[in-house]
Amino acid sequence: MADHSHGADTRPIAVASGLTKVYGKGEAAVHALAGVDVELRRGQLTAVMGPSGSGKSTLMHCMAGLDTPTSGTAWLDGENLTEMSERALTAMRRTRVGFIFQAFNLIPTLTAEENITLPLELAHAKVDRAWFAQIVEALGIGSRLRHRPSELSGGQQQRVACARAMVTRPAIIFGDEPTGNLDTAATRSLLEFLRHSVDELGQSMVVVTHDPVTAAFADRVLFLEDGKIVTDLADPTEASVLGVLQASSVAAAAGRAG
Amino acid sequence: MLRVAWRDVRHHPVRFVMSVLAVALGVAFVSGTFALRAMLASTFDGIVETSLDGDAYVVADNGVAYSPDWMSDLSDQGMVPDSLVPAIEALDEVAWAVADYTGPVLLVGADGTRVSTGAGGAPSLGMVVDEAVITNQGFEIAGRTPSGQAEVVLEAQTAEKAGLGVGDTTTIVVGGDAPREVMVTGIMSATDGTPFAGAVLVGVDRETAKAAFAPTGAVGMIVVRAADGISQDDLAQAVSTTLPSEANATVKTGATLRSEALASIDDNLGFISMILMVFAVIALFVGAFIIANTFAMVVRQRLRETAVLRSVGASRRQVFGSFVAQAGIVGIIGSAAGIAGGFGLVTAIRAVFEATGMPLSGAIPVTVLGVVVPVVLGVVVSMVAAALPARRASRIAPVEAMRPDGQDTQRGLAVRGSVGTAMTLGGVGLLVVAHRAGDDGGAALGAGAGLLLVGLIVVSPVLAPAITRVLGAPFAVLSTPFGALAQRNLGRNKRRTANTAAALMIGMTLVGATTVIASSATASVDDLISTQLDVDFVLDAGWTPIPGGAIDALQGLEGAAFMAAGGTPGTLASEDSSQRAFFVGVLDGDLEVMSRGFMPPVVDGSIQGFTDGIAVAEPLATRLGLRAGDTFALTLAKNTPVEATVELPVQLVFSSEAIDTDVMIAGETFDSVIPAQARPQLVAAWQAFVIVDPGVDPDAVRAQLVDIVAPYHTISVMDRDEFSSFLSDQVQQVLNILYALIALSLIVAVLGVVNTLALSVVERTQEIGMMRAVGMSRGQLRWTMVIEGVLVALLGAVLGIGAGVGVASVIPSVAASTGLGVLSISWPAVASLFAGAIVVGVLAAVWPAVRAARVPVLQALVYE
Repeated sequence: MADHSHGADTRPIAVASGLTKVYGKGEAAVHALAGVDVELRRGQLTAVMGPSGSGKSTLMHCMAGLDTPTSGTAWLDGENLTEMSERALTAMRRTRVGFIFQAFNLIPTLTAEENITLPLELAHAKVDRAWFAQIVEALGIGSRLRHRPSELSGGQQQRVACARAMVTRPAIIFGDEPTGNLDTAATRSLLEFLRHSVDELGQSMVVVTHDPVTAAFADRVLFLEDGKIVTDLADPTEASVLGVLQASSVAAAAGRAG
Repeated sequence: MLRVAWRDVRHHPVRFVMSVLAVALGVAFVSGTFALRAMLASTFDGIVETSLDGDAYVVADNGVAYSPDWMSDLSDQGMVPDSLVPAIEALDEVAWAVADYTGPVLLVGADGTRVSTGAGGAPSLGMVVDEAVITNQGFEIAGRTPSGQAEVVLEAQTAEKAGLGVGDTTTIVVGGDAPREVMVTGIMSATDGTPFAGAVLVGVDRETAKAAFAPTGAVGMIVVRAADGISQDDLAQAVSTTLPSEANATVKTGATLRSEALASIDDNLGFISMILMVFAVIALFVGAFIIANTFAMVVRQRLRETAVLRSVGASRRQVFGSFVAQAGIVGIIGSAAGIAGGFGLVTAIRAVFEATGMPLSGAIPVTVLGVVVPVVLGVVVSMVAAALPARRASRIAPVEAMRPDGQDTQRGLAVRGSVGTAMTLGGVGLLVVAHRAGDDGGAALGAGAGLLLVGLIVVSPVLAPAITRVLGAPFAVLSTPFGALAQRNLGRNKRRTANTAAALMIGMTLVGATTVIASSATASVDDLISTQLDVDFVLDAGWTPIPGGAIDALQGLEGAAFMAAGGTPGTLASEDSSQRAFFVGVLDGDLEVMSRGFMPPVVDGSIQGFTDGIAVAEPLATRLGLRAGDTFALTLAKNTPVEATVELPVQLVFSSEAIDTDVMIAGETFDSVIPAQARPQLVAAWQAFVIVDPGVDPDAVRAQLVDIVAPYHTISVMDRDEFSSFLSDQVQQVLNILYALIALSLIVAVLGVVNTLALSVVERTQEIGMMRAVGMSRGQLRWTMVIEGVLVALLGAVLGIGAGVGVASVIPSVAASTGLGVLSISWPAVASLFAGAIVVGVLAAVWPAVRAARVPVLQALVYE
């Protein structure tokens, strides 16, 4: 897949500079992030992969302003997250960041439509009905809007969550294993939608995953190990992703053997 | 399984904080009540031991058990003549014998105001103090005994309260005498240090006391001391031989009299502690809702864990036992804290009593009953409250362990709804029956109120969503999306929301009912006074009689007529029965005041020209079959030297709740029945009424009245409106005590709201994190919690105030004959209750809201 960048804005959407995150102290200290430097480009879908405990979720949390790094700086859409107050971070999340979670995380008491418009209501912003209709149409959930989450399938719930992430026209969307709880068909249709919103709408997106199929839909894949980026793969395919994973597991096995 | 139960409590202490607190509060109140009762009993025991330390007592032979005279209105005891003393004293078995000259005394302190007896209603008494009393009755004195009218000694605590010492001069009012200047010649105290529970004790010499308290020679008792080596029984035997049969006197040994006095005190304390206990039990009942809610949540959260336990072989009984054991742990911890709290409470009460001049004796008693009963109560309530959720837990199938959780299966409410509706409607029906039945509706009222309340508790989960929708509508419209979010959060677990509100409802019902009773009582008093009493001023001395000196001074009143009314117990003898009754007569003043100023509804006869004969209240007249024109026999001043039985003509039969007496005696008849000299002792003047002459300025009369009563310190001059609010205030004071007691169950209910909100924070951690991740600010989150708290509180308020006002509205129909005949609902007061509920909701939400705001955003992304 070729270069999908749109427009004249070539500044990176998110930057991590010397990010470290240490849990615990002394002997028991765990370095979840051991100095990460990366720039994420605008209008791209970036996948973050790595084995459990490699720090991929921590990296995403720090770059999204959900977690505070121990040292280093995270920039999001030109703003320094590490210097922001809780209030400013809340405003940031509300207006410029969208989230999609593995566990869907819809509010059980609200209908699908209410869940989608919730971020706008929290910000006391008007719902752009045309934009809303466009997203709903693209996600194919128009007929399910009046249903409660418990009345929707997993795929439908995740698409509602997607719509909720998109509705504020965020600068960037973070997805934490968004396909983790979905079957193959639902995974495929969700990924197609994500790809579509990056290609057609210029949406910037970061997705943490350990599914090579999901990663293959990205423009770029970052591989983390022990809190560091070990491989930066552009225009991945399922085969190239598997290749990197195999190489690293061989290296890990070799490391253990040696 | 017990280990699992214990670990869970240890690892999730926050879940149980409110349950423990609720149990602790209830238990504290129960144990505090026990301790308070024991402490008061030991204080009064001490007083009885000190003040009644004779070996034998000569008292009136009327079969009435002795009770200390500060506990009965006017002495029911009857009297014996002090002329019996010389014969008794002459006996070999007797060391000394004295007539007990005691009576009311008003003491003015160094600051020029009356020395108060404190909150406990202790008496202000004058007694004889001479050398014989000091040596024989266990007192010691600093200074010397009084001699003559111008000298007194004071009991040590009285002197301290009064700010008076030996050599100081002050003013006293003894019995019905005019105020006079006296000098303090000594300070006395009980040798064994017994405190007198705030009583004001003034010692005077024997002649002064006799002149003031026993002008006819009739006394309440004669105290006898045995000579060395004589037993109480032998002494009583010997004394009884000296008593002439016409004296109507009998001998009781010291032990008998003391045990009668203690029994009567114990009855009174028992009544007080029973009322306290009722409120303590209500608080525990309310607390049970919190525990039930907590365990319902614990059971749901541990669904998976329980299923795992079941699949590894735990039996249903073991699962059930595990949860109930957990409740037991909560109960034990709560009860232990409650016992400590109870002692703290009593210590505080004692400090308050002491500060208001009523020191209580001894250490706080630790009785087995006072510790075991509250603990057992606390633990049992906890376990019973947890039993239902535990039963649900025990029914969890092992296969649940394999299923993904999170699906909230709400059991149907159809059965609960219909049973609750039936009970509620039944309760309302009974209230209607009570309303129609009038005086006989008491039982229906009680049953209806109970059924209504239980019915509402049962049906509340069905009603809750609709009511919260209505109550929440303003929030939903004005505060999108938070109002709607809060509303739906409450709708998520109907049972829990309803249980929380029901706990609050119980307290709110009591408050609502009390509020209506308060406003109805005020309205009823206003109504009675405006329709039945047409006088310009009323003089009243609170709970003490108006001194005779003040009434004498009223004779000089210019431009107005007055009448002093007083009462005494007597015996009414009809052909086939005798009946004790309370009599009121005109003691002094213008008889016209009665027929002009009193307008009781007359059933038979006429009040015009009521200067002779008697007026009988309708209930008594009905019982005895009396009509105007009949005559019947009446015995007054029984067991006194002036005892008289007279045939009296019935002038009228009246029906009035305003005149709280069985018989009114017209002035001339009263004069012939009780000689003037015996009046001050036998008949207390409770009130005086004044009618201003036409054309005279009432303010001028008032100024005269104020001058007349000023030296007596206790008498207030009130016009009709003031008298009306004075009577209402007395009702209000009783109701204020009720409010304070109800507050306990309200506090526990507020803990319940805190508990429910805090539990929902625990349950919704992930959801809250998600809300925050999509941009909800901490302030918005807190605001949502506050709306939830307010909505729950309002739900409880709507149900409770509705039920309370409904039940109380029936009371005037049932209780009209006791003077509470006018229904008045004070809507501002009801509105302020709702305002109070909103405040309660906000306060209850503070802690849970802070906790919710602290939930890290990352919680949404971390899943187990």
